[in-house]
Amino acid sequence: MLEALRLSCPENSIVTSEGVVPLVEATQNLTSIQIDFAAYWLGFATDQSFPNLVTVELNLGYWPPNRAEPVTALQAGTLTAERLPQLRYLIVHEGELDAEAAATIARSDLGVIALGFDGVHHPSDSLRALATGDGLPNLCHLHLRETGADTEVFAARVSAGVRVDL
Amino acid sequence: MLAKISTLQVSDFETLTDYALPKLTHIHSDAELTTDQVKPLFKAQRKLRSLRVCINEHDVTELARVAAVRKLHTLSLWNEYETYDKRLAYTLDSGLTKLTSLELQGVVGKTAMSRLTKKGAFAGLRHLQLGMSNDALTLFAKMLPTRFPKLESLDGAFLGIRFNSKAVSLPKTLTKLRLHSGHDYDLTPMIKAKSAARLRHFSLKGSLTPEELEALIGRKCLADIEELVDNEALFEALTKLPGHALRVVDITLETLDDRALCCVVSLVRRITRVGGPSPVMS
Repeated sequence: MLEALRLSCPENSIVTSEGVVPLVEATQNLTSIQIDFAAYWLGFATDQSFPNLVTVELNLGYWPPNRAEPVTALQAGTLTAERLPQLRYLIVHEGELDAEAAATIARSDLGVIALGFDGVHHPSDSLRALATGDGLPNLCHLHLRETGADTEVFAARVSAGVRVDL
Repeated sequence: MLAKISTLQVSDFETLTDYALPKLTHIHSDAELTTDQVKPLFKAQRKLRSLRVCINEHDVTELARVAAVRKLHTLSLWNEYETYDKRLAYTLDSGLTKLTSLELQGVVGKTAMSRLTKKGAFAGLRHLQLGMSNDALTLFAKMLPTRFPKLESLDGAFLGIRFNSKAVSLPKTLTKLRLHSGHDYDLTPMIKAKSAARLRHFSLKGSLTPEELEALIGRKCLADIEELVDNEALFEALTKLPGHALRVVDITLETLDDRALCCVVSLVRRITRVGGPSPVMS
């Protein structure tokens, strides 16, 4: 039985909701998804649950070409324990967090053990939101490489036992 | 705090040997380890049992001169130079008898291979990963069934080419095999071979022909396909085949548009449907 799908795509990809929605539907029962043009995956997953999904690794930097794709508060709001009850690893590459999206994630009930947003310098408000949110009850590892994050901002997380990679 | 660290993943060795980390047992690094760093490293990290590094070709022999290397259980080296062969042979000849996992990601030549397959030298290996030259491959294929009596996992980058002409016998203990496929040889006989019947996990990396894919999917074992490059004939074959055995599919699309996505969706649906509903769904 298929458990994991990794989909690597070229940078000049052009897809529409017509192509992506069926993919989101078809991957509903997988345990692991690693995908490149992932802004669509986030955006169109709003009304669907993924009961078995444990690992999600998304790259938002491939579309549009050579630009980091922002993670919006609307997309961040779709990341909930109700929709993703088994999710434990969420890594997003090249996706800039706006402050509202970061705050939404940081106070969510998502059961992730490891959370990563790397490759893009995030606004300081976004980093502060990730550092201070009172959600994410199982968080053990925060991965924020190449984000311009300051160690001191995450002091509370570190003292709470979270491993923070900056 | 440092005293509690057991695993260190580093990109820079410069500072590493300045500290004695008494409980450090694992070092994994993308950095190149040099002669100046080899000896102090083992001196400082007395409990080191796992070392995974890129190593300069001139420094491979330095490893052999450090007695503590013989305590390693896991060794992973990579180097792309062909002259690596004789230096590597020297290291492999230096009493690495406790190794259970060995990864040699450079091109292992015939000299180093003769040491690796020397009777009893690496009899404790459970995991082996290596790339090799053609003449080394001939020797390796011949010795494989008898020289590694505990081998459970084999990742042989170029081993697949050997299976083109005739099936190679595999150690009876082997349950996991990963091969790179290629345009100039056909793995279908290998995938169907009796000696591969014991495998529980079969992984192929690279472009596959529809025939190879059919043989792989037909097996009753867990299977991964990595870096499957899309083409129309392959997707056509995929959508017609039962997919009960596939666990992981890794697709590299040459072009991404809605049509290509449609093929991926078709594949995922096919495999998922044939596999039956998940416990959660039922």
